[in-house]
Amino acid sequence: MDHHLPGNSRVRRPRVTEKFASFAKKEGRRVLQYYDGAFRYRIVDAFRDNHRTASENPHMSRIPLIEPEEAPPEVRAVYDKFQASGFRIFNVMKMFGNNHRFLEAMYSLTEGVYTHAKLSPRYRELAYLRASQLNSCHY
Amino acid sequence: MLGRSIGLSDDEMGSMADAENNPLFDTTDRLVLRYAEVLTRENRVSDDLYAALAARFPREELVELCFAVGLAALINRVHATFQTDLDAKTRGSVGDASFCPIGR
Repeated sequence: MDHHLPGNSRVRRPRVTEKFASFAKKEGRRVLQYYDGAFRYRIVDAFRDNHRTASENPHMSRIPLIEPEEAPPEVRAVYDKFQASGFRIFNVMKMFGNNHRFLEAMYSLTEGVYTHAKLSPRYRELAYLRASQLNSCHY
Repeated sequence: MLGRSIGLSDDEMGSMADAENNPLFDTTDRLVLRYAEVLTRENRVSDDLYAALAARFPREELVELCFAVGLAALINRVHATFQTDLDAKTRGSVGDASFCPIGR
């Protein structure tokens, strides 16, 4: 797996590193990746099989999940707001970390539905879960 | 799992599709489930259904209910597009739930 580490020519080209990003999962390794228009270090997992695709492995995001420790300040600020409201930073939020404006919108929406709602949590969850079930959502 | 964390049982979550005939659900539960189903499948809410909802829920809660279904739809579409990894904690907590397709 050493050929994936920073400094190796195989991870210098954006095309390769973007692909590489989709194969990486978090586990506390620092690797060089291309995102937001520049090469940056991200903390990623041990690598999965380099030749598998997302569709072959349903438990692999097609887009990098932006971890709090490597998030740009505007993204980190919203993660902090989520945590201040009592939320863990779920992978779906890390996905929205790729676009901080929509992450912010998600924060408002999530807080509105979950934190400040007057609706009984039972009815909220019945509605949410039934909709997700019908949408074939496995998240 | 969020459903469990707010007190929904596995039996309840597993029988949402047939709530009309299930004593686990009361009248309001069935109304909410019917609304979520109709909104998701047809995106068309009849006057009768709306009247039943409006008779049971204050307007502010009606908006919240609508947004709960809408938020699910949004998040579901995000996952369908980006195939977001399931959180480890979620995967662990639903692994034994018969109604949940995760991991299958």
